[in-house]
This record gives sequence, structure tokens and C-alpha cells, in this order.
Amino acid sequence: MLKNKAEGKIQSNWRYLLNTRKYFVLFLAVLGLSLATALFAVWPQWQGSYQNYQKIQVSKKRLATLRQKTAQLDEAKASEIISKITQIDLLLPSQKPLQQLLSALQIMQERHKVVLSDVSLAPGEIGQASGGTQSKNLGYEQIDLKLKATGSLAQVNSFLQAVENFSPLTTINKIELNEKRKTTADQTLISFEADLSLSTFYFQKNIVSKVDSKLPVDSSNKYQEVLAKLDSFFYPNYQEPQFTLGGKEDLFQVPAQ
Amino acid sequence: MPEINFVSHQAKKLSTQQKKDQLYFRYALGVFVFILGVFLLSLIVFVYVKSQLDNSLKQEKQLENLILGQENIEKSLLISNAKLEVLVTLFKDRFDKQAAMSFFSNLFGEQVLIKDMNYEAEDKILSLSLNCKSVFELERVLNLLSSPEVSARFGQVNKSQLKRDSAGKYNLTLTINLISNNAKK
Repeated sequence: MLKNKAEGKIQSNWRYLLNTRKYFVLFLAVLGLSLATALFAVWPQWQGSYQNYQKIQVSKKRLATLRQKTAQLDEAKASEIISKITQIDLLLPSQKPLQQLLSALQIMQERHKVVLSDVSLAPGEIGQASGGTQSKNLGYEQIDLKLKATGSLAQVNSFLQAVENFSPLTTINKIELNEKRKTTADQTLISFEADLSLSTFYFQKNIVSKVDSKLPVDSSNKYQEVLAKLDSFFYPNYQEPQFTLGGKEDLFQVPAQ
Repeated sequence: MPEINFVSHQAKKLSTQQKKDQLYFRYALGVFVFILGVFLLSLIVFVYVKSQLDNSLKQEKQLENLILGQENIEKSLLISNAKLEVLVTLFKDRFDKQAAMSFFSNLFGEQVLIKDMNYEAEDKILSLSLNCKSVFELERVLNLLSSPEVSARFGQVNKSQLKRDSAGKYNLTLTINLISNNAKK
């Protein structure tokens, strides 16, 4: 009974408040609604807009990079580097160029009329995973080769000059020139034997690129000297050996049982 | 006798309060309308910024596809650039050696045979073993090696292992440090 009385009092108080302070209640309601709108509608919108704006700024920078890269790629198609890509690849192959080197040496041997003998790879180094000697992360590795070239002094000299001017890029580290005399009944033949240590280089470097990573700036000018030298090298016509696997034909014509 | 009317006083007080409440309500309504305006503005800004972002991302995607379509050119360009960088280093090393060899070969002439050559690429040390036909040739070579032309270009040229072989020829070894030579340049 007391409880009902108290509830009735509260209700009548509310009713009194609504009757007498209607605008105050409305004021509080509108104020609350305004606050709620500001907190739960306006603020998230601005926050979202600001975050999107920041994303646009990042995107604009990326777009500029991508546009620059697209333009660079268009320019690159006509660049000197791309036009000489075959020569660059032949001069500094990406794989161990042992066969190319031997093939080139054979051509040089015939061309300069020297006799090549005792061709050997630097012992212990062929067994490495890469098959070459480790350079100090310079972007290349090398194959060390030893051989003997025999001929007249002029022939040996021209062969030595040719060795440093063919692909794959090879350099002479050591020459030991020995005079050989062979006396016959009527004359003495003089020949020279050059004991050579050669190093042939090949490219070994990991290159990582992303869609938005910048391309190197137009480097045709930077490498002008090297690009100009590429034409002075001799590029032997080396063809990869083709291996054809059998299995399709019955070569022995074994009659079916 | 003064007239006491509590109801009138209370009604007057209530009326003043209601007027104040009405005023506060108007202010609150004004604030609400303002916030509603801000909300509409922020909605417009949000939609505009979002469309801009979508547009930008769409352009990014288009350019990415364009670049991916030219992947082979990019690959070739990057590898060729890296190879050229290596070639610059290798050519530089070779050039120093070749230039020194050519210089001494021309300096001594055909009478002196450069018999042995050893080049240590890491330390850039070039060793040349000369074969002189006679003592007079040897003297000429020694004079040439002490000439200002040689000192200016190669600094100190070390001479060692002077030997006379059974055929009466003189062998002399020269050691040239091409690093100090480069530093001088």
C-alpha cells in the first residue's frame, strides 16, 4: 500500500514536471539527441573521411610513382640498354658459362692458329653449389680456368688479345711464356707456349622488384662507356645443345609376344 | 492590511522559469540543427572523399595491370642494369691491367719480351717478368724504368729477381701496384 502510494507520488511528480517544465525536459532531450548525433554520427563520419583522405594522399604518391614507372617502361623499350640486351647477356651470362667459354676458346684456337692443351678448371672450386668461386657479394662469380696455348709469338699474342675480347667476359690473370726450340736436321723451329690462368665471369645477384618500386633512372648515359665497348667484343655463335628424349618410338622393333 | 497571494507569486515564478526553459530549448534546438547540418556536411564530405579514394584505387589498379603487362621489359631492364653495374667494375679492373701492359709493351719495344704476367685482381698488383736479349737491353730497360714518365704514371715500380739464363738473356721482374697508381690519378 505504501509502495503504491510512493509510486503514485513519483508519477504525479513527473506529471507535474512535464506540465510545468515541459521545455526544460525538451531542452534536455534535444541536448541529448544533439550529443548523440555528434558522437555517433558526425564524429565517425569525419574520422572516416580523414582516414580516407590520408589513404588518398598515400594513393596519390603511389599513383605518381606508378605513372613515372609506366613512362619509364615506355621509354625503356627504345633505350640503348634494351637494344643491347643480347650482347649484355652473352657477355655476362646469368648461368655458369663453362660450355660457352670452351666453345669460344675453340673458335679462337682455330682463328689464331694456336694449339690449346691442358685445359683444367681450378681444382676444388668446381664442386661448389654454384660451380664457381665466390666473389664478395659483388654481383658476380667467376670460373677459373688454366690452359696452355702454343704457337708462334705472333699467334700467341693475337690469341691473348682475343681472349680478353670475346664473350663470356674473360680476363687473363696469369701468363707464363716459354720458348720451345725444336731442332731438326736442317732447321730450328721456335715456338712459344703460354701457360694461362683465366677467369670467366658470370652474373649472380638476387634482384627483387615490386609493382611500385622505382626503376633505375635512365642509365644509358651512366653506362655509355660500357655500352660503347660492347660492340668491340666478339660473340661466338654458341647454341645450347638440344637433348631429345626417346620413348616415343620403338627403336629396336621388338616384336610383341 | 497587506494582501498575501501565494498562488499568484508561485505562478509568476513558474512563468519566469518556463520562459527561461523555452529559451534554453530554443538554444538546444539551434545546437541540434547546427549538428544536423554538420552531419549532413560530413556525410557529403565522406561520400566525396570515398569516391575520390575509390577513383584513385581504380587508377592504381589500372596502372598496376599496365606495369604487370610489361613485366618482361622491367625484368630485362633491372637485370641489364645490374649486369652493367658489374661490367663497369670488371672493365675498370681490366682496363687498369690492360693499360699497364700496353704501356710497358710499347715502352720497351719488341726487343724486350714480356715473358710472364701475373695480376692479382683483389690487391690490384701486376707483376711482369721481362726477358732482355742482352745486358745493353737490360740497361735500356732500367733507364726507362727510372724515367719520369714511368714514375709519373706508376709511382714506384719494384724491380726484383734479376737473373741471367743459360742463353745469356736477362730476366727481370717488375711489380706495379695499380691501386696506388689509381690514387695518384
